[in-house]
Amino acid sequence: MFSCLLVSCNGPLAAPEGVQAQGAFHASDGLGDRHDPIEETMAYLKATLGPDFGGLWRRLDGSWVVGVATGTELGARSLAEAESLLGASIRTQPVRHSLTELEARVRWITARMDWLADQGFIIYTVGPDVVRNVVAVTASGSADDLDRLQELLGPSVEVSEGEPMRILPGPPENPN
Amino acid sequence: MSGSRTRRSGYVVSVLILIIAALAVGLPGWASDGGMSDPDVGDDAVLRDAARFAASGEVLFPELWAGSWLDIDSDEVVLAFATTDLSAVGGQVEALAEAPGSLRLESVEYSMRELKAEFDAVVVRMDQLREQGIVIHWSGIDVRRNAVAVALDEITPEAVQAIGNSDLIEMQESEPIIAAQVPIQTCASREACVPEMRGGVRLIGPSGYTCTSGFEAKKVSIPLLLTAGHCYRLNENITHNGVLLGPVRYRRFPDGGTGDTDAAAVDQNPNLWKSTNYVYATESDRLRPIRSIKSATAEYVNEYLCKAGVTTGYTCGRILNTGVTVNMHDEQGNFVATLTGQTFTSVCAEPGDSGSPVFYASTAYGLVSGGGVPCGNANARMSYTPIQRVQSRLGVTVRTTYP
Repeated sequence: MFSCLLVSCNGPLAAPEGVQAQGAFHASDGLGDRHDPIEETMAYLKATLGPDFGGLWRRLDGSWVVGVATGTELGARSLAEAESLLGASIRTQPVRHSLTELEARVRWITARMDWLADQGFIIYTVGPDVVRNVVAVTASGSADDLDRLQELLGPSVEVSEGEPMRILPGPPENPN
Repeated sequence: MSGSRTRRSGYVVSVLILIIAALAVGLPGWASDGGMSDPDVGDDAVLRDAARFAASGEVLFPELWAGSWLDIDSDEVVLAFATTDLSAVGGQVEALAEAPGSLRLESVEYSMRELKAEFDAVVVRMDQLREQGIVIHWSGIDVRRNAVAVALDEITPEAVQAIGNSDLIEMQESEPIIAAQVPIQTCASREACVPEMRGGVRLIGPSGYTCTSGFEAKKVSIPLLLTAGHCYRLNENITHNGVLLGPVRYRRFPDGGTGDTDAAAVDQNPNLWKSTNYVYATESDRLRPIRSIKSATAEYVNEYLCKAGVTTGYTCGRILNTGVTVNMHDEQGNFVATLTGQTFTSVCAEPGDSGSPVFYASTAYGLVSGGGVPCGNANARMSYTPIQRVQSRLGVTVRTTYP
């Protein structure tokens, strides 16, 4: 965990470089000063929690949840600020892995895709699942293959059997 | 997708549109084809040879040069020269082009310069002719017929007299096709939206492959139409409803490798098409305006969104994951590419939906890239490239206002 959160080191709105850049990008798109409350909330939570941010998601009942790495707390004032930006209440949920960790794990697996294929693993997708707080991997193979892949990738990864993802051009037609 | 060769009956129209664009509009990609007619073939090698021959012929014999085309029946590149003595011409052209192959020379009466001069004269007189009640639907140089084609509703003695009885001109009767003569707001279906282009309609490449238009975009003031990068190759001519949009101008797709974008931008001839910020969402909502761009970092799990594709129409679902790596395969199950940073959804999509706009209300989210499980299944899957990345990688801006 990081002991120095941005909320206490640099002030609550001192977002990291990458977060500030989003605003500039939007402005250059001609969107003017239009504010997206979700984008602002997301940016605020990322800035506030730094690497302990575990993602912001919505449950199917419409309620909002922010994942906070175990051992870290989102202060009441910061939570109130986030809720004010979002215009809705947010529940905090302790998570084992921060979003940064999950994303790093996705990059790690992606970088070894060729090697994994050489080992006989057929992987379809790899992505952070913030709700389950794991990296979700879909793959093809026997139960033994999937077990071996699970063991290889470790406990922060959840391997399941999936369907191949295909590009979707339509079949040739008469160009007329 | 490159593929087998196909013939197009709208060939002459496309040739003319292409030439009109190259000569009158002066769009960059079309002006550089050396007077070559529509490369209506998906064979890159043949096209490259044809382009080299054409460039050589024009450079070596500017006074005699009369254009070139691909003879689809014989697989030959045909070069036309306004001379009866072809013996000296052929050897020099072939030597300079350094591309030995199937080459045929044809002797014709008029050079490209003469044809261009006549064409320019027709264009200059169009307004005057219109005032006389003679409306030219389109005109252009038909290199295969070695003539300036002029298309009208009806060839009357008055029209012949007014346009002039030049030997270089070949009149023909035609339906109107140019933008100004088509009623505004005509959009009968995803198959036929003219002249106001929009997302969610059918695009067809030179090999006949179908994809869906994504969003209207622009680079500086050049109008562009977005679709998926895996659909077509750079410079392939894309049509909608039998009318040429233009060539693929920008493309990002990691063929066989790893990358984060699946997108392409097609030139949209402003003489034939009107730009909009619309998406053809449903049969009853053909004018969905796009007014904002979703920031990729603001996408969240369980966010609701929709797509509009030519095969499965308007379907909706939720975001399952963001920042996903997808190993993409083709229909035969062969590995195509690894795409990183994709957004994974429960929206369904099927072949033909690639490039479809992903949106919610008036906000653009991305372009459909791939699908997993067909529609009708609870666990349908679709991935898309976030639109903000499409913009930055292609250097384009999605239209969020009506021009």
